[in-house]
This record gives sequence, C-alpha cells and structure tokens, in this order.
Amino acid sequence: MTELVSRRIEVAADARAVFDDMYRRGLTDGLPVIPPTEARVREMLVAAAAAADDLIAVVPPEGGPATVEKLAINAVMAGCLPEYFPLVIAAVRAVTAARFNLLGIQTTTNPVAPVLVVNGPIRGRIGIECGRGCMGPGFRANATIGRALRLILLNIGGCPPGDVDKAIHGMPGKFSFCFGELEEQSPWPALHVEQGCAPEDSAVTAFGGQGTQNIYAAMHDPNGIVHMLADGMRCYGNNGYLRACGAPLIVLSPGHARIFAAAGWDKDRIRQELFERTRIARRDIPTVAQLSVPIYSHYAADEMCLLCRSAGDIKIVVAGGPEAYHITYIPSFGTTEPSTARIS
Amino acid sequence: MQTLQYLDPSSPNVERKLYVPAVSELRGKRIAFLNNGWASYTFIGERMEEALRARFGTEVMKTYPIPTSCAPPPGLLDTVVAEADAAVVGMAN
Repeated sequence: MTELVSRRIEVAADARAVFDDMYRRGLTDGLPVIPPTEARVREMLVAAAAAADDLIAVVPPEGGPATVEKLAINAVMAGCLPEYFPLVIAAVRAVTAARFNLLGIQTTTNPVAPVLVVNGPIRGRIGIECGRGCMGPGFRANATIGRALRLILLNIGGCPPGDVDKAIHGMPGKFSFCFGELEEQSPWPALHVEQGCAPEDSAVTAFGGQGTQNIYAAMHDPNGIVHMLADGMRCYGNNGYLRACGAPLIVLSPGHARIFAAAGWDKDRIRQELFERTRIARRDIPTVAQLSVPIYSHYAADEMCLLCRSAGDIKIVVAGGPEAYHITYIPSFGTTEPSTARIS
Repeated sequence: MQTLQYLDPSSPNVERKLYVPAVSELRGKRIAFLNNGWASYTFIGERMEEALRARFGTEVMKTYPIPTSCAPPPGLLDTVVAEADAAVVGMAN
C-alpha cells in the first residue's frame, strides 16, 4: 500500500478541538470538518482504486499538486463517503482543464464558483439529487462533493478569500454547488451527451457560474416562457456581455421541459430564441468609460451586444421539482467554457 | 488527554522555477507591457513607462493587449519573447 506522505498534525481527540485547530491554520471553509485521519483517507483511496501519489492535476493559482492523497484528505474533511471520491477526482479534472480558466475563476473579483452538473448512472449509485431542491440544502452527496471541490481549491490551489480570492462579496455557491440532471424526465439529450459522452457514461460538467437567478414563469405557452426567461437573462451587468462569451446555464424544471417538448421545441430552438432575445443595442448600455474595456465599447449605437458567442453556447439541463413554475438561470463568468470529465 | 492525528490537506510548498532570467540592467533594453484591459493597469503601466525611461534609460517600450481576465492569445507570448528583453504583466484588476 502506498505510503501517505502528508504532514501529520496532532490535536486533542475532540471534534471542537480539531475544528478549532484546522480553522486557525486556514484549512477550512469556515464550517466544521470531519478530521482527515489516515484510516479515513485510506478508505477514499480504496474506493477510487488509485495510488496516493497519482498526480491528477495542478491547481492554480499556487500551482499545488493535486495528488490523489491530497484530494482524498479534502474529500474526507468535506464529509464525502468513499463512493463519492471518483466523482471528486473527475470534478478536479474538469475544473483544471484549460478551457475552464480556473486561474481567472479562483482569483477574480467576480463572485464566480464552479457549478457541477452530474450525469449518468453514478447519480443513482451514490444518491446525487436531481429533483426537488437539488441545489440544496439537504442532500449529502450534492453538498459534500461540491464542498470537497471548494476545499481542494482553497487548500491545494492556495486561494484563501481576501488574500488571493479577490471576490468582492463572495457567494453562497462558493461553499458548494453540485446537482444532477434529471435525465429520466428530460425529453432531450442529456448534457453529458451534448458534451461528447455516451449516454451510459457517468460524467461531471463544470460551469463557471455567478450564482442563481430565479425566473418565475408559471405559464403554459413556450413563447411566453422564453420571453420571460430572456428578460431575466438580459442583464448587461453580467460578465457575458463584457466579452460576448461564456456559457449561460438554464435549469428547467421537468414541467417546463414537457411544455416545450409538447409544442415541438427542442433545445436548439430554445437556445436560438434566447440568444436572439437577449441581444441588447449598444445605445441601451451607458457609454461612460468603464474600468475594464468591454468588447462593445466601440460599437455603433444600433449595434447589438451579445450575452455569449453563439446560441449553441447556452446550455440547458432539466432538474428540480416537477411543477412548471420556476426556472433557474446561472449567469456565466464569461471567460470560461463548460468542461466535462468522465467518472471512472 | 487523548489525541488524534490528522493529515494536512494543503499542498506542500511548490518548487518554483525561474523560467526567464532577470535582466541585469535596464538601460537600452526593450520592455513589453502586457495590458490586461483594466483601466487600473493602464494607469500604472503608463507611469511605469515614464519612470523606466526617465530613471533607467530603457529605450523601446511596446504595449500588447490581452483580453480582460483571459490568457494571452496563442502566439502572443512568443512574439513578446522575440521583441522584448523584459516584460511588465498586468495580472488582474
């Protein structure tokens, strides 16, 4: 069995004492943690069938080496069960892919956090919630997998809030943000299939999301729903408009998905409608100088500013409770692309 | 008192490499400014340019724009290496 090389820290065998010690050392997210003892860490390694010294990624901004051992320690702290650990490893692969721009996401003043969407059979095997309340609170797999990733970004990425993570306000989703797609109640191909995986694959897709915007669209007409949704998205203070890039994420309830499907709308039709309806004329945005230089700064008054590069960049998943009441819109950080990793 | 041992979750100190040798002096050197699109960097960059010229005698200074919050476009760093002896890089806002 591989030797665990991490430094051992000895404290009183008391839950409060362990938390106090780890908090004082800057090793937590501010919430109590499970003490990462060697026995617990080894349980994680067994579940992933991985060697402790396998290097999964290098995590910015510090460039910390994310070995399986370090990932396992943070997963224990977050409260993960061992069977969650392969998903945690995949999430780290996803967020460290170049297209995700983790360096920018870790250090920006923007409140962006990695948003994890889980697809495939692993959802049922480990209890990823995809239905009512899936974004939390209350579901251990969702909560602790998202939290494990945050602890990894803090502890291996070397990104304490305030010093290196410069988010002006932070965001509750930076504690944990993970849910599953309710594929069984979606009339359309699942997200991971659109991202190049086979339907039978298990996968996790990371988005750089700025939080959630709820849109109450309790109606049965697809045109009315996209009209209301687009109005909620057409907020030129979101980063997407700054550079006309990013991946806005729409989370439809199964009820709304059924309404669209019954009217013959597929995801491409919804995406196209949203892309067209979220365009904003340059004249509608203040022309005073900004501290950064938006892509539209030199546009003519009637030129259109875009939320993202193309309709295809808008991603749609189905999740949540069944009623066709609420839609969640997760604005994109902009300079980031969704990144998918298969779960082995 | 009973104790327990926990494993440190943080990364060990990362070995840092100096990828580019520092220039020994600035006089007569070509300096690149990588402007990341933030007005605060533009402000600082312009003043650095004045100070480098007045105090250190640097000669050629050229600004290269990189998109806000993004990595430099492909090939840009190669261009900078070819055209400059040292660089000032805007990292954030």
